Amino acid sequence: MQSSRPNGCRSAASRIDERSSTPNAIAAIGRRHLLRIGASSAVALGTGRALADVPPDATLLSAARQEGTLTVYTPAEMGMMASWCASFTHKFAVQVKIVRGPSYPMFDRWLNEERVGRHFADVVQISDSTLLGIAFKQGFVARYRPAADEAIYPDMKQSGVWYALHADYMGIAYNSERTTAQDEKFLHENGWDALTDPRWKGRCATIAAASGGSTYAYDYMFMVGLKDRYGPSFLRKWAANKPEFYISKPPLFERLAAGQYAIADEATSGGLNALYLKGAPIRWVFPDPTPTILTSQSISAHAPHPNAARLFAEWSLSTEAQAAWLNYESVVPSRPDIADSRRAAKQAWFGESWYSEPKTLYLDYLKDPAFGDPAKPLIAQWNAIFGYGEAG
Amino acid sequence: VDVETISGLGSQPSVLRMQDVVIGLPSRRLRRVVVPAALGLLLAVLILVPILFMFLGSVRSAALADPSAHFTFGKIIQVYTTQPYLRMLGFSLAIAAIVGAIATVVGVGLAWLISRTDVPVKGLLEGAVMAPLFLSPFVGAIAWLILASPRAGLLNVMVSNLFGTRTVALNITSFGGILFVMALYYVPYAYLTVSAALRSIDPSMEEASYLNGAGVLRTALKVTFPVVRPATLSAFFFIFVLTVGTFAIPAVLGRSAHVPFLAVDIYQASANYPIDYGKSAAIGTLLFWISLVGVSLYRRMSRQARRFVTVTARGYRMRLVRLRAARIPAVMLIGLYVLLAIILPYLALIYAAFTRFTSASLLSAPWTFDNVIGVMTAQEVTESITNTLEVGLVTPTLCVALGVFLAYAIRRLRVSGGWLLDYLAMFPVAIPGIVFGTGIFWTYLLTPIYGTIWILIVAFIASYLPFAYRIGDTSLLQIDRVLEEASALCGASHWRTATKVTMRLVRPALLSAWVMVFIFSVREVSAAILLTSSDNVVLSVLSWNYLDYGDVQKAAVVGLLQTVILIGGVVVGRFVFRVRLSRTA
Repeated sequence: MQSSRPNGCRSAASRIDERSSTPNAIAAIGRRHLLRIGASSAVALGTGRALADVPPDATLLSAARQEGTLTVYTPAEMGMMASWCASFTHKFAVQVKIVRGPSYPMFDRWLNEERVGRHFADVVQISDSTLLGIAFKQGFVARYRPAADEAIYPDMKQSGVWYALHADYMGIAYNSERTTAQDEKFLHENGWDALTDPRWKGRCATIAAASGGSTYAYDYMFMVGLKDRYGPSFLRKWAANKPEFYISKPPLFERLAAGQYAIADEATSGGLNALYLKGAPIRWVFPDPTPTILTSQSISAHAPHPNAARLFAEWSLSTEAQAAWLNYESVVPSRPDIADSRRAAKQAWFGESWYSEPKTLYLDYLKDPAFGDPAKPLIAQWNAIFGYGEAG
Repeated sequence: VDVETISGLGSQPSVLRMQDVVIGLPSRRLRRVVVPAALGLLLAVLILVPILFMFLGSVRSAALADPSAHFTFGKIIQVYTTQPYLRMLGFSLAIAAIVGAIATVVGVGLAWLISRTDVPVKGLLEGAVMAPLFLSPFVGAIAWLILASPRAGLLNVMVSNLFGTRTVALNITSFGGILFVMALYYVPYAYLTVSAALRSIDPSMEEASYLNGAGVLRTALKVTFPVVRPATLSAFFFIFVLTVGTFAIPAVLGRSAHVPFLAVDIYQASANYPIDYGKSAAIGTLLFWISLVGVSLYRRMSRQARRFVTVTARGYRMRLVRLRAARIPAVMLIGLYVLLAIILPYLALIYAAFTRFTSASLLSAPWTFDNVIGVMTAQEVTESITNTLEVGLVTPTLCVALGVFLAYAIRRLRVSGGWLLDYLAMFPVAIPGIVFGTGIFWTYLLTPIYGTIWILIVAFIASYLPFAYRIGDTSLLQIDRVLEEASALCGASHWRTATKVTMRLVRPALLSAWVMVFIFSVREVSAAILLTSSDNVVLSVLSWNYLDYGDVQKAAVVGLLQTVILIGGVVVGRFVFRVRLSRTA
C-alpha cells in the first residue's frame, strides 16, 4: 500500500506501526485513525467513556490564584481567544491577558523580551511547533508535563515541551457564486492539479511562503515532501495562473467570500467555518494528501506567573477546554476523546453534499530535520517561482 | 498686568521696544546652560535614541538582543545597492511625488475656491474638506477595499450590473488605486497650508492686478498662485514625506499584489519569515535619508512662505472672486471630493458594520446587528476605548506643553543652541511611524514603560512634537513683542509676562495644536502595532487585528467608533474652546 502512495505519505496503519517501533519519533497521524477515534469519541462523550479530566493539584490551584493572572501570546483571533479564556477565568478566578499577533513576529518578540530579561509571556502559542522545540533547546521553554499528556495524540506533542491545542487541514477553497457546477466538479476530481488549470487565471489567490509556519508546511509538501509528484514544475504551472498574494490567510478568505476570487489554496477549515456559518458562498475541498498543521503552546521558562501558566496548560488540554474550542473553530482536537458534535450529527458543512473529509493527512514535515532549518531556504525558491517580493 | 490691561499698548510705535534686560529675561546661566541642556537631553531621549537604535539595528546581522548577532554592513549594502531595493526606492519616490502633486493641486484648488471666491456655504464646505482628517487613512483604505476591490467591490458590482459588463471598472488594489486613496487623504494637509497662505496675502497685490486690467484667471495665475508658491511647495514636500513613510494604506490595499513600497517592506521584513531585523532597519535608514531631504526642502519652502505672509494690524476686506455661473460647478467639484473622501467610505463602513460578511451584492446583503453588538460588548473593545481616550488626552496635552515650551525657549528665551533644538524637534517628521516604532521598541524594552500605555504616549509625543512645536513657534512669531515689553515695563516679572501675556495670546493656536495632535494620536496605527501589548491596545490596533484576522465587519465597527471619538474631540475643541483647525497652519 505504501508503494502505491507518493513519497512522503503513508497509510495510517503503516504509520501507527512505525510509531510503535520508534516511540520517540514524531509520526504522522492517519486520517482514519484520527477521525475514527474522533467520531467514536463523540458518542463516547455522551456515554461518559471519555477520559476524565484530572482536577488540578490543590497547591497549583492555590498558587495560581495567588498570582491571579497570566499572559498568553497567541496568533489566534482575539475575540475567539478571549471567549475561550473567559471559561478558564470563570472556573479558576485567574485572569488571562492576551497579546495577539502574527505567529512569527509574536514568537520573535517573545524571544527578544526573554533575551534581555523582560519576562511578560507566560504561555506562548504558535503554528510552527518546530520553533518551540528549538526554543526549548535554547532554554526559553519550561519543561512541564500536564496531567493530560497521555491523552494527547503522540504526534501532537513533544512531551514536556510543547503540546498542540489542535490540528487543522489545508485544502482549496472556492466561491460557489464565482464558480460553475463544472468548475466545482473539476476541483473535486482533480486533486491539487486542479490549481494548475488555466481556467483560474487571474481569478485566484495564494499565501506567500514567507508568511508563517502553516504556509511553510504547505509549500514544503509540494517542494520537498512530495517533490517527485509535484515539485517546482507543479508550482510553476500554479504560478502561471497569476494568483494574487496575501501574507495572511483570513483576509484572503474574506475576499474569496466577497467574490474577488474564484479559488484560493491553503484553505484551513478553521478559517472557513465562520464564513460558511455566516452564510457566505464559500466551499472547500481537501485534495489528497492533505497538509495538516498544528497550533501548539509551551510555557515560557521564565514565566512571571509560572503557576497560573501551568494551570492554564492543564486546563487548555482538558476535555472541557478542547471541546469548548470547537465552539469557535471546527478543527481537530489534540486528544482523541473529543470530537466535533456537528460532524457526528452531520450538521453544517458536514451534512453538505460537496463536503468530504480528507483522505490522507500530510504531517511528515514535523519529523524532517530540514523543515526545522531556521533559515527556511524554500522561501527564496518559492519567491523565485512565483515572482514574489524581491524576486518579483 | 494681563492681555486686557496692555492691549491698548499694542498699537504703540515700535520705539517702545526694550532690550532683553528691560524685558527681564531669566538668568544667563538658565538660558545658556540649564534650559537648553534639559531640553536637549529630553529631545535626545525622545527622538535621537530611537533613531540611533534604528541605525544600530541596520549593522547587526540579527535582532539587537540576539547573542548570535554580529556586526555587518551586509544589510546596508544589500538595501542601498541591489536591484530590488533600488527599484522599490524608485517606485516609492515616484508614487510620493505623484501623490504629493495630485494632493497639492487638489488642495490648492479647493483652498482657492473656498478662500478667494464667493462659493456658497463656505463654512460647510470647509468643514467637509477637512473631514477626511477625522477618518484614519487606515480605516479609509478598508472602506475603499469594500467599495472598489476588483470583481467584488460594491461600485464594481454596480457598474457590472448596470452595464452588463464583466470587466473590472475600478481596481483599488492596483498601484493607481493605492495612489488615488493616498492622494484623497492627504488633500486636507495641502488645503490647510495653502488656505492659510491665501488668507494671509496682501490683497492690494491682487487689486493692483485687477486695476491693470487682468481678469480673474490671469490674476490667480500671475499673482495669487505665485505668491503662495512657497506655501504650495511646502505642502507638496510635506505630503511627499508623509507618503514616502505611509504604511497603512499600501499595507491594506496592497495585500493582494505585493506593492514595492519601502514602508511596507520594513514591516514585512520584521513580520515575514525569516524575520530580518537588520534588513528592516536598513530599509528604515534609507527611508530616513529620503524623508530628511524632503523635510529640508519643506523647511526651506516654509521659511520662504513666511516671507509672503502679511500679518498686519490693519483691517482689510479681501475681494472675493465672483464665480457667477461657475458657482454650482464649483460646489459640485468640492462635493465630488467630499463624496470620494468621506461619503462613499463611510457608507461602505456602515454597510460592512451591519452585514454578516462582505457581500458584493447590496440587494442580497446579509444584514445584521451582531457585529455592532459583538464589538460593543467585547471586553477588548471597552479596554481599547479607555486606552484610546487616555492616549488621546494625555499625548496632546504633554506634546503641546513641550512644543510650546520649546518654541518659547528658542524664540523668547533665546537659549543657546536654539538652532539645534529646532532641528531636533522637527526631526520626527522625517521618521515614518513604522520606523520610529521599531526604534522606540528597542529604546524602552528595558524600561518600566515597556508594554504599558506610556510607551505609546511617549512614541506619539515624539512623533507629533514637530506639529505642536511648529504651531507654537509660528504663533509666537506672529505676536508683536511690544505687548510683552509693555508688560515688562509695567513691572511684571518674566514668568508673569509669559503666563499672563504670551501664553494667553498663543492659546488659540495651542488649542488648535492640541486638537491636531489629538486627531493624529487617535488615528495612529503604524507605530502602535509594533508596541502593542495586552495592556495598551488602542482602537486603531484593535481594528488592525480584526482586519488581520479577516474580520472586515468588526474592523469597520471599530473604525466608526474611532471616528466618533475623533469627532467628539473636534466638536469639543470647536464649540468649547473655539478652535478652528483651518487656522492651524
